[in-house]
Amino acid sequence: MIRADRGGGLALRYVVATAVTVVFLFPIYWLAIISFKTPDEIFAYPPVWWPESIQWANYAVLFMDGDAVTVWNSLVIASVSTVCAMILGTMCAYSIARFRTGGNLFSDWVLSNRMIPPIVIVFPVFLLYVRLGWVDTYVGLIVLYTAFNLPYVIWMMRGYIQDIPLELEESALVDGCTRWQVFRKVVWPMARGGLFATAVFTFVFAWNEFIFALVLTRSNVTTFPVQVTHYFGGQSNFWAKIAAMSMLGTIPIFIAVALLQRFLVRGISLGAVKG
Amino acid sequence: MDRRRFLVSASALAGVSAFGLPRIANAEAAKTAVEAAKQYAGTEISIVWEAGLQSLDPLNFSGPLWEKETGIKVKVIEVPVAEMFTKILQEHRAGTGAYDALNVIPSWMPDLVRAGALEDLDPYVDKYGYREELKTIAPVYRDNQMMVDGKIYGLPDDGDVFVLYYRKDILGDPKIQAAYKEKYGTDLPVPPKTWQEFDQVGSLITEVTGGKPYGAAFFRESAYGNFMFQERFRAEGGRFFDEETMKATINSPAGVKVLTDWVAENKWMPPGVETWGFVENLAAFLQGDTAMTISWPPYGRWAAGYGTDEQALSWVPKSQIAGKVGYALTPGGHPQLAAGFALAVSSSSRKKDPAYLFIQWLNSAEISLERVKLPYALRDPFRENHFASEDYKKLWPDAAEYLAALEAGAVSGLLDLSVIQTDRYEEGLRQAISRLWAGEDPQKILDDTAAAWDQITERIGVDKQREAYKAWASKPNAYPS
Repeated sequence: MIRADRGGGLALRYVVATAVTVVFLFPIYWLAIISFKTPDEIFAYPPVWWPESIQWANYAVLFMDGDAVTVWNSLVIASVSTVCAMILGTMCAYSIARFRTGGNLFSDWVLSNRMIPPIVIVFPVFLLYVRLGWVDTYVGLIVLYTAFNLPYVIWMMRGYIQDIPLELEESALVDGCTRWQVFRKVVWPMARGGLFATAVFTFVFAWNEFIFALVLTRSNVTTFPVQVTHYFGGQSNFWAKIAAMSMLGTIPIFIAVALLQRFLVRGISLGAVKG
Repeated sequence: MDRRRFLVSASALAGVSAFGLPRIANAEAAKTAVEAAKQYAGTEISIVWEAGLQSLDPLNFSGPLWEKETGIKVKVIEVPVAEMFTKILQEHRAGTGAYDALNVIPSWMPDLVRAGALEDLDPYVDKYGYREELKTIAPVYRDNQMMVDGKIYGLPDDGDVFVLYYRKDILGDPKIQAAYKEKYGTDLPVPPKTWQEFDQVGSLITEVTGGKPYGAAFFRESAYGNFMFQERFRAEGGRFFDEETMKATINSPAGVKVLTDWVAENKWMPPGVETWGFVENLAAFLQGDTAMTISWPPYGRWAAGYGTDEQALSWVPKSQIAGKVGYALTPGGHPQLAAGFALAVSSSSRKKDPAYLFIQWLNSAEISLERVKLPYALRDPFRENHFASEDYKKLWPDAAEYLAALEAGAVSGLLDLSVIQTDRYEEGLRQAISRLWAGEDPQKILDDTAAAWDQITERIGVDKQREAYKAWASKPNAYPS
């Protein structure tokens, strides 16, 4: 009887899990399938669930037209800004966690910076960038994304570092390690899970960011979210291109998350999230 | 970003070798621009163009041809249409000089001029002898989409006008005609000339065919619906404001009737039509799923299959209805001159003369005719020589009939509302349409929208807006005459 109940409960769990998976994956499936359809199939009613033949041309045209370079632009900007934000943010977080730099107010102030709506600062930043010659450059967006993501990195990493027992660092110092060696040999290995988790989220923020990229680029370093909007015209909507470009833009995130998944769960459940 | 290098070079070579510089009687403006521009050879000018299909004109055809003729390189800055106004103002306010030439929607021009973003083109028109050739632009565009406060700020460059497209074979079907006569006691009007006739014809087709095809469909999505509302509201006798008090009057019986009629029409249109935009509506018409529709001129060309084999138009569903389409004025006889484009020069440009010369050349009778013939571009006929072009009339079997419909629209068409901060008022209409499809009451929606409009007017200043509105309303095509 109990076994039967357990079996029923397990089956129900599988059913619910499958249903949830289908609901969450359906948009991805639909996007992918549109990217392989012909125009007639895209607009067919009732909908075509699987294309008659795979239209690789929808992807090929993105490379032939040079549109795919926007994914590369996004990759460069998101990667470099993530690395910069992680290096600066982790060091800052260590300083706050271990030396109480700035006291409690500083930590709160750092977090409050994250709450500024981008639309409020985007035009002043544009004016500043005009003077600096940073509009429509990699440097401009990298610096901005680094600055914008720093509060998040600092706040998250501070939590992870605080979770590391202080005694371990003190032991290392007694054994003759310098602060840098402590950071490299003790803190880094123990905070690695949180570090990767933070890096993934930071990368995703930069990867998906739209408003800064729209305002601060013209044509040289257009990012992929901005490029997708180019396919929505007043008298044309390139649905196949929209889907194909969105898929190209989704793949790096999938890869990053897949590679770092084991760190993600640990990372999310540690650090600043801990009560 | 070095975009579309592959296509540009291939198409440019093909375009230049195919066209060279066409020889027509009235080619002065183009020649003058080319000769004057040669002194600027080696420089680069930028032009803002709507991203996507629109920009294939300067990328694949006119940009490379201009460079070949003058040595001036053209950098095309593609901007989604929804962001164009903001980006133009943003660069102007910062004084960057990043944009030399611009495409602007004519209804934006009052706002852009007041912001100082557009260069007064009168001195350039005189300097480079373009005034005579400007007169050959169809009056509705020339008189209404070129000037602000009596000065030229834009060269009208696109004959955007709504056209009624109808399936001649279906409206001419004896079975449908007999059913119509039996039901209404009169012959089926081909095409329907009033909204009542349209409703009767459309609903009957759906009834007789069981929805194969449906009687009609429109783009009902709010961004497009805004234009449709402006047209029909005025066709029903509506006026946007009381000219004395500047109180909004869109919640008049005319406005309520339009929204009520829309809801009623949707019942015999395809399911989900409330969400349809330009492309969904196009696909349904081209695939033979609807018997009538209203849209911009490209539908007519693509329905005939003109140029749809080109790679740039591979996203357009294959037309199943070539040779079966009739073209006419929209019911009521006053189609919306929806959106359109004018060419302008940025006041913060550091290269105003070459920028102006490029737009004069683009807009000239000679070059613009080649541009409106490009199957993949979205510039529609807007000049006398376009409507009269024998070459154009040979592009597909019914092209002459198509041109005649566009020309008729260019006489009786209605201008988009264009006052101070037009987009804020239009946003109110867009929200109203969204609420309509959510099932709210038309009168309540329009009362709220009118109240919102009044707030916008008060914020701008009643007297200031009255002046702008009177200037717009005094134009011959602001309201049906």
